[in-house]
Amino acid sequence: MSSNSYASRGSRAFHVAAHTLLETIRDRVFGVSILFSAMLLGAALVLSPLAAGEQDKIIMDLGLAGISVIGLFLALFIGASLVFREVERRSIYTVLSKPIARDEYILGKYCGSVLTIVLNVLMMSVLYVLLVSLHLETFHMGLLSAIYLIALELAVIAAFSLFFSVVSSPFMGAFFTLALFVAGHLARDILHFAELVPAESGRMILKGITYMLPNLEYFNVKGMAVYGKPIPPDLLLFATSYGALYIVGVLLLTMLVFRRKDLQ
Amino acid sequence: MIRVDHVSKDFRSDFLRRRRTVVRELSFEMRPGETFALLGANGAGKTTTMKMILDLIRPDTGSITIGGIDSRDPMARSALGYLPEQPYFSPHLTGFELIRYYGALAGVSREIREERARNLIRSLGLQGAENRRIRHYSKGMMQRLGFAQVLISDPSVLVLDEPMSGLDPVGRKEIRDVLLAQKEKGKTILLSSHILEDVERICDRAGFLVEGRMEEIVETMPAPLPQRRRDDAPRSVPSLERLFVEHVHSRYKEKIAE
Ligand SMILES: Nc1ncnc2c1ncn2[C@@H]1O[C@H](COP(=O)(O)OP(=O)(O)OP(=O)(O)O)[C@@H](O)[C@H]1O
Ligand SMILES: [Mg+2]
Repeated sequence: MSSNSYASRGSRAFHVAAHTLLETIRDRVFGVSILFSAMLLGAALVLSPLAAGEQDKIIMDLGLAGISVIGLFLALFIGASLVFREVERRSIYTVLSKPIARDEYILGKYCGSVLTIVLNVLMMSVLYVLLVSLHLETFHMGLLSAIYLIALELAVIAAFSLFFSVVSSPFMGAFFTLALFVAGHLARDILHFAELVPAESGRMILKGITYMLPNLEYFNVKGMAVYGKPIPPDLLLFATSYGALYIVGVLLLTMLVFRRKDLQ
Repeated sequence: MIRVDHVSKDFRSDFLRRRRTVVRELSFEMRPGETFALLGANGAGKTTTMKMILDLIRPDTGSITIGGIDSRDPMARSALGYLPEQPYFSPHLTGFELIRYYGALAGVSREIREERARNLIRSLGLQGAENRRIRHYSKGMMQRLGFAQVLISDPSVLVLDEPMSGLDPVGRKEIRDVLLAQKEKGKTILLSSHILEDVERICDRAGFLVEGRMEEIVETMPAPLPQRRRDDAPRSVPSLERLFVEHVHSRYKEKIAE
């Protein structure tokens, strides 16, 4: 029908991802998140002269928590607004009018948001590692493992965030994602709490929901890393497969929903 | 080229979940190389019909093919360009970046993409603005960018939803010339418009949509207005405006009378 050479499926998803990355790093939110991490670092530098013994552990721990929280903030924002904003602004019409399948679009959007988050985590990590190794002189490889798991957790959260963005509005999407983050970290506590629920049905429902949620504590080795304990490789391997399984599952679900959606 | 076969679509309005039929049993076929206009009052279902052709909205019943390929297959859009009503694009990119992005999505190779993007920026009057962020673009510039995004893949089928809206008189003439050039090249064009004068000048045929039904298809366009005025002889072909009033307006009056 025409002289264009048709790019493969992967390459169209790649273009969507690259475009998403470009778009989000030019958004004010990305700049704000970098600013926050710089401020965090500044605060750590100010506090660190006071640090002796236990206190540099606190700074190391706070730094990791900072990377995690700023990453979460970015994942919430990007994920929640990603698809919804394109629908709202109607720019999705022209994108999907090209020979691209909806699944490829979702895949591209997801990869783009993960790229943005990873870039953000990398930038913060460079600052963090510099602080820890030059200033506190307590750097060790366990910290890198901890950062890797933080990035993995954020990638899982980004998948849920994209899903919520497809099925609801940005505000509700951000709310659900935040709820998922909190519940995911408290999964064990919620299960304990469920035992206390008197009604049999209520207990079952609460347990059922909790088992569907990812247990985000699997990605949390901050304590071990800060105290310089080695992170066992099987733990990393397990967390990686656990995260990948959730990512694939949630992405497939998102595609399934998005395929049927009328873009009015 | 485009074949719409007994297509119907209901929308559920949010409150009370009541169903409203927006397109009903719609059928029409576009021949290769023809320019076809979808006409009708606001809310007649023109945009919905176009979105169904693009698979942005799924019909409840019926089927649509483009060049023989089912519209649900992305390959049906491999030689298609779509200009939505009031197009809007990511504000953080520059016009040039955006055109290249759409070229990449359409599978245009890098060299051709670069060259075409440059040519389109020139021919659509966007030079000087191509390296500016899109958030600084005016409505008319957005419309031109929308056109660039359509033409970057040199599509053989163009689906244009109110392509002249938002343009000043000079812009309107420029876009009309672009359309006529595409027509000259043998492209198949489906457009909707409320500017009947443009439709008379550009289109070969026109269909009147009334409440989602194809009420009438005009097979022969009347001569454009300026020529008609010069003509002293009585008109053999009625103007589109008269037909519009006849088919569209009178139907509404009937409804109101009921
Ligand atoms: N998302 C939606 N939910 C419910 N009804 C809708 C939705 N979108 C459109 N409609 C209704 O469908 C009908 C057809 O709309 P459509 O946009 O196709 O009309 P149109 O012919 O393009 O009108 P216009 O000339 O104003 O652009 C309208 O009555 C509109 O109210
Ligand atoms: Mg419309």
